[in-house]
Amino acid sequence: MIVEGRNLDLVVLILTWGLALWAIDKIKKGWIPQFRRLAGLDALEEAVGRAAEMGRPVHFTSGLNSLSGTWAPLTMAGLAVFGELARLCARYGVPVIYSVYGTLVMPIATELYKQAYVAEGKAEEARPEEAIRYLSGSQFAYAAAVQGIAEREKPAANIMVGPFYAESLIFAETFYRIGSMQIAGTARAYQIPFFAIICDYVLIGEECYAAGAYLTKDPAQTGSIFVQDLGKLFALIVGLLGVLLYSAGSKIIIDFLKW
Amino acid sequence: MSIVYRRYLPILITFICGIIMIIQYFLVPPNPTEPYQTSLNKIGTDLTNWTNLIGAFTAGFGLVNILLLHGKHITRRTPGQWYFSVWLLIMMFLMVIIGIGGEPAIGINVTGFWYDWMQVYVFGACSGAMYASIAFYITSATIRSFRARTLQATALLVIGFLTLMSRTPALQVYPWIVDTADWINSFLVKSSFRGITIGAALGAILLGIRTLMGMETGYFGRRD
Repeated sequence: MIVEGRNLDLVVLILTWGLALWAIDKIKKGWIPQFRRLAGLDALEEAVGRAAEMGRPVHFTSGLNSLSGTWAPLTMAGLAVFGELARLCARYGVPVIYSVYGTLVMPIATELYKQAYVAEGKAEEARPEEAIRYLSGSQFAYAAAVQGIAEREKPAANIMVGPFYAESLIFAETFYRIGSMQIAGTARAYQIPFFAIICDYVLIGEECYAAGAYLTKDPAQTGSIFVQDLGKLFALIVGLLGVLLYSAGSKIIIDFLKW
Repeated sequence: MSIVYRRYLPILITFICGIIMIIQYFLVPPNPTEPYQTSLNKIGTDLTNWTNLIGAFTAGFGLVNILLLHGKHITRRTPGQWYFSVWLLIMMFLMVIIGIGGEPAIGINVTGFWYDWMQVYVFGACSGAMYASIAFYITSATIRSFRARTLQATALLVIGFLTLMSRTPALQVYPWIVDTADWINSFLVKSSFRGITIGAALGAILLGIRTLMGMETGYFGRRD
């Protein structure tokens, strides 16, 4: 019935789902798990404050985003950060620019932007057509357009959370050159070193996915971060066991992973 | 708008579609043979096609957004911007006319010549130039990061230098350098990357679960 080689995937999914429900229930009953601080997300307010002092906009982009496929969750994580950023910008009266690649996220981004201004009681100050900018559906046309915005409008801060490819370095270097404070996050391992070298704060891999839960501090969401850590512990144990058993000549863990 | 339409209906649609795709992943092999597998596969394909269809609709949003934003720049004569906006609109409409207008409209093989010409010799050349510019950005980033100021920075400098030099023809005569660089890439770098990948995969699974349960409010905005 279950496709061969996907039994373990199903067990892990069911276990993770069950544990997430359990953790959420515990948090709702008053349990407060300890989480490490994510400096990159804590610095969002600092970035907006800096822009308010300098009288310049804040720039946001979610990379080569997509709402289908492998990187859809990372795009959603980026949108969660944008929602919070738009709210902070509305609160401090700072213009925000969201450079959009591909049109699928545009309606969502526009809605998040409008909601942020409504929530802060400044609906009349919202300028979605100026804030949410569709640039291109082509990688390097989009990269060139972001560079143009950076050079012409000199944003005080640049926040990048999403799936980034070769354009990551172009963005990070351009905004560095104009003196923007930068917060960047991606789960694409090959782009993380570029961000780590150039940006002020970096969200590495899983930290991006936890952004929505971390920023909203919603108990229903924070419970799942606890399960994420449990999952990492499980992966670490399986990995170590695999190394030890394989070194001893046993393929039991490899067979287990292929189950 | 009612909260039912704004929040509960999207959550319900997300849940149903998400569950269908999960069931399809676990029950339908790459080459389906059973009738239930074929049916599930078709439903999954239909859902994916709907996503593409919605994506095509949103292209209209993009067009309107560009027209509104750059139209404003042109009418306001925004300093340092408006002439770029004029050029952007000219090029955009030119590509639309060449792409849609097509052969029957003007009697020449548009898609076979002008469209390809614009793609290859204008768009392709510009994209290639942008891609090539990354070499300079890598150089400036490398110069800044490869400075032996701390112990960690020194380690980065030494390993980076070793890895770079191991790919040059001159150092191929010292196999131990090439072997050391390969060992660093195959074991140290790969194991770190796998750690990041496992963490990211777990994060993506949990975000998916939160979304299916309607608990991920990131794409709805906050509840309050």
